[in-house]
Amino acid sequence: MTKNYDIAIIGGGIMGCATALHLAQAGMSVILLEKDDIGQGASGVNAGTLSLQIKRVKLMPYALKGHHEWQKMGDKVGFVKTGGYTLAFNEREAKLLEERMNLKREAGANIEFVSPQILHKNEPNITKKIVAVSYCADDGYANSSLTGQYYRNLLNHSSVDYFEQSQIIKIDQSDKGFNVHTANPQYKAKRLLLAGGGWMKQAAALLDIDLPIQARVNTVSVTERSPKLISNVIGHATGLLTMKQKANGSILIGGGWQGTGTPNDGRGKVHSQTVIPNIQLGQYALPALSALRIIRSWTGFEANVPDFYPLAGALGNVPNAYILGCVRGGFTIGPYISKLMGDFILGNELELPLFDPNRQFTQTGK
Amino acid sequence: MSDFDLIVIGAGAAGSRAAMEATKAGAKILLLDEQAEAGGQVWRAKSPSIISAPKTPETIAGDKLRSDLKLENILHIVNARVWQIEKNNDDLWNIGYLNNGHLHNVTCKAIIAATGAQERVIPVTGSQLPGVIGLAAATALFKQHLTTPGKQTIVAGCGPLLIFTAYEILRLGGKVCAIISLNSKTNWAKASIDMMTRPDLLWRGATWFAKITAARIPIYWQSTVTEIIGETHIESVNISAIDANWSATSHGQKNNIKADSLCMGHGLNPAIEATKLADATHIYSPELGGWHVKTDDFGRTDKAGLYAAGDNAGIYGAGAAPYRGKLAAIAALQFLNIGKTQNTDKLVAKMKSAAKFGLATTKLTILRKGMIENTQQTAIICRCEAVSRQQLEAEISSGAHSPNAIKSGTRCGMGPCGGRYCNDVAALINQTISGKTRQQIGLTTSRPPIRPLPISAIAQNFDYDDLPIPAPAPL
Amino acid sequence: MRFFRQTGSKIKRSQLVEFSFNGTTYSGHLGESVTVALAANGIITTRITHDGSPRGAFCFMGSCQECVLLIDGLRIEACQVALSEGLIVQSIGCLIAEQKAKGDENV
Ligand SMILES: Cc1cc2nc3c(=O)[nH]c(=O)nc-3n(C[C@H](O)[C@@H](O)[C@H](O)COP(=O)(O)OP(=O)(O)OC[C@H]3O[C@@H](n4cnc5c(N)ncnc54)[C@H](O)[C@@H]3O)c2cc1C
Ligand SMILES: Cc1cc2nc3c(=O)[nH]c(=O)nc-3n(C[C@H](O)[C@H](O)[C@H](O)COP(=O)(O)OP(=O)(O)OC[C@H]3O[C@@H](n4cnc5c(N)ncnc54)[C@H](O)[C@@H]3O)c2cc1C
Ligand code: FES
Repeated sequence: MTKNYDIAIIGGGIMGCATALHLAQAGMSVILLEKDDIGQGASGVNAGTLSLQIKRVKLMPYALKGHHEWQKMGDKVGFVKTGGYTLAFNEREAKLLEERMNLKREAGANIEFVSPQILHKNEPNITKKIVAVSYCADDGYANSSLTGQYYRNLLNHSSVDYFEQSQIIKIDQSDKGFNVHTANPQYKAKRLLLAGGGWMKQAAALLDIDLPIQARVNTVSVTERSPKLISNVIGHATGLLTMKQKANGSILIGGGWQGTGTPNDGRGKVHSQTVIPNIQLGQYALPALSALRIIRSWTGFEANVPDFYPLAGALGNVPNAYILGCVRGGFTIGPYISKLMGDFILGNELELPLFDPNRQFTQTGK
Repeated sequence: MSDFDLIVIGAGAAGSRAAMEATKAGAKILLLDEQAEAGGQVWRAKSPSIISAPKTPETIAGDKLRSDLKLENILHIVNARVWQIEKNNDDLWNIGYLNNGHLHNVTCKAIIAATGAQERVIPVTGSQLPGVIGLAAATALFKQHLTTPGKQTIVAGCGPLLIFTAYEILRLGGKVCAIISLNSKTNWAKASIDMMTRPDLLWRGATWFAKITAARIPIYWQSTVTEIIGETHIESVNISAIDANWSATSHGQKNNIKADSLCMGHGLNPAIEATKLADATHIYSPELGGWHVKTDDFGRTDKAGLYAAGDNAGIYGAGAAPYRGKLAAIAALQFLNIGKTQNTDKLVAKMKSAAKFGLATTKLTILRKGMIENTQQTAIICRCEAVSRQQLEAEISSGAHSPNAIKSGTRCGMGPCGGRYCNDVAALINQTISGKTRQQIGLTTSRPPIRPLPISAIAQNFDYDDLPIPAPAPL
Repeated sequence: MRFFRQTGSKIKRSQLVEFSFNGTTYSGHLGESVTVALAANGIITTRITHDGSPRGAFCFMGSCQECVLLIDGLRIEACQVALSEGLIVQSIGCLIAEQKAKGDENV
């Protein structure tokens, strides 16, 4: 007789892993199934920026809590609280910066506007062509490459049964629960959590649910190791640049520039026409980058719905099925929102509300 | 509209021939190579610092190739490093390359990837020390610079490059203190039978052996380097006899030999970054040097418009490379609908016959399963990031199974060489723990740039206001 | 230890030119690779890794990245650069040492 788990979780990214651990700790029997490797989806290839300045206003409380989680995870994930500067290079961007950062500050982020002089005192290598700057002392980064290692170790020491190279290709529902099929074995569980990241649309389709999910193809590039050039996380008023120098000296350049490809065909592709301006923007902010070389650019899939808010809650038309994904800034928020999700599944009181996946989606303005 | 019908990447033995064949048929082609002159590895040109030097079979063949390219008026850009290959919306290929500090982007309907091979060196403790260079690397040094890597050189490894390297050092006037050969005399005798297809080359090999014997260079057959000793550079080398699986045996004869340089190599791996980036299917065949792009006799890959010729499609060797280049050009021309169809049976037969010699030499370099046992826990596997075998084993044992997962957890392969020299070894170590086949273990995800890309070239002459910065992220 | 430019009777090399490495002047043959010019002068260590171990040129074909140096201000594989008069060559480690000497502990 196959074991009937309390819950089966589909997807071993940060959302799936962190929820699995939380539920197992509360005593549930959990099985987690991952089609590739633990933490090799978005959670393992993202830019690792833990910045309140690029978080959405409405998600700020979650990001603040997320920061605490990362702080606790500490060295094992390469967490560093560096502080972060967001730069505006012209009047238009300065106005945008002011508008945006004021709203984010009101939402609870410890953001202040500083003078270019202060910026240059702390970051002498940043371009002098600065019109406005904001600063947040709480910003920092973690090393996303370590996500897989970190969660695999925790899973190994938990009661969670996890299987890698196990893609869910079919799900049967009955009164008793779910039968989830991989190419070979099937598993039984009373509940189901979809945490399929960029592949969420396909995962939901296994339950005949059609969600208006799109996958973005975010690009990140990294330089070789370099002597120290910057100490803080550097951003851009539009949110389209993130840059940090990691402890090993390499500089990571991201910002959500779009590559090509879809989750249905491989891992996505770096697109010359976007990666080049992405790096140019980075070099504009940090002219000394010109002395370095890019050693690798890559992409990852990040899912979103039209309103760019998370899907986090119970799926209306399938009893005992839940979904967690499409979280903008999901690396930052992931460890926290996964705990909330776990609490929701356990029937505990929630510290902050979740995001009903059955809502009407409206397109955000921008 | 595309800029070119066909772009050939690599102006070695295979790529140059492909370019000439396609040009003759009337195709608009571009030949790109990162070196300063055509010739590839086998026919590498002398550096401009050598004004004159004795001719060798390699320089003669190389000079002929270079003059043929000029005669045919091939559009050949030297010092052109391909960093990116993408398919665009019009189903054309986009190729990004770096040339003398500038980035260029060109489109074409078809590509022939003829990127050749790179060296495989199975590390032992100390193999990362200065003064230790590859065997194939040594041949490049000789051909280009007529320079030897030290006063007292040990030559170690397997296959024909071992003997060629020792011979070349002697020819140039250097000193070889010992040859450490994984292959036995019997291996060589057997290989010679397969090499009968090219009596001329076999004879050449015999003259190398003759010169080595005349110089009384000690040859340690069926032996391997087990450790390289030195603080800031190599000072001496420990060697040991091996068993039939190439594992250094506990009871075999051991020796320490002083030397100030070591040329060590264990065969060649196809250089597959370009075809991987273009998403072609790759397969693992030990007899062809390991992972290589999958092609038919005409170099057709499973991607429309993508062809491969030469050692990157399997180490068939220098003799077969020009034929493989020609055949790939014929297939690409057919795809492009240029020129008339020709009977290729003879050419295929010639290619196959030439390949026999290459396959026989490659066979001498197929790693036996005990080889990886000689790599100590402290040996540096990833040179760039200084990752040891021990670190890799810990990561694999804790449950990281795929090459991507192992890389993420250890940084093995995350440095500037892109894992070119450690991926293969990491997979061998993975195999000892997981028991999986190399095909099952697979490869890491291929990403651009194929070679490190200077930001000075990327960020040249751009106007901030022209940056296509997308709409701001949602608030 | 160093590399030896072999000097058989039929080998003729280009003129010698001067270049600097980490501030010291050396000479080499015009057009030879910077790696060879350095190694012939006894400089075979091209970089020191982050964990302090020395490395030298390894592949001589521009792919292993062990010989990357700052040449006239740009990071490039020294084995792929032809020597010319007055080239300024620096090791990356030297740069880091300079920064440390200036009191920057974070390098
Ligand atoms: C270092 C080395 C030395 C060798 N020496 C010998 C020898 O002495 N004798 C022998 O029989 N075999 C030798 N070989 C084996 C070699 O592979 C030959 O079989 C032969 O050179 C293969 O021809 P090819 O055309 O397939 O590749 P190659 O001759 O290697 O040509 C490939 C070409 O592609 C270019 N290239 C690769 N990637 C890029 C890129 N991204 N952008 C632009 N250009 C690129 C390279 O610069 C090179 O010129 C050697 C191999 C190596 C790696
Ligand atoms: C390139 C990039 C840069 C980013 N930068 C940042 C940043 O700097 N800061 C920040 O806060 N956020 C960033 N993000 C967002 C963040 O990475 C994601 O929101 C977060 O990692 C999502 O976690 P996840 O668990 O939902 O998805 P994933 O990590 O993608 O995990 C989903 C997993 O589900 C598996 N799966 C899917 N379908 C199936 C199935 N049918 N069967 C079995 N398994 C399945 C997948 O293989 C995958 O491993 C970035 C995202 C990307 C792509
Ligand atoms: S020696 Fe390998 S890149 Fe120069």
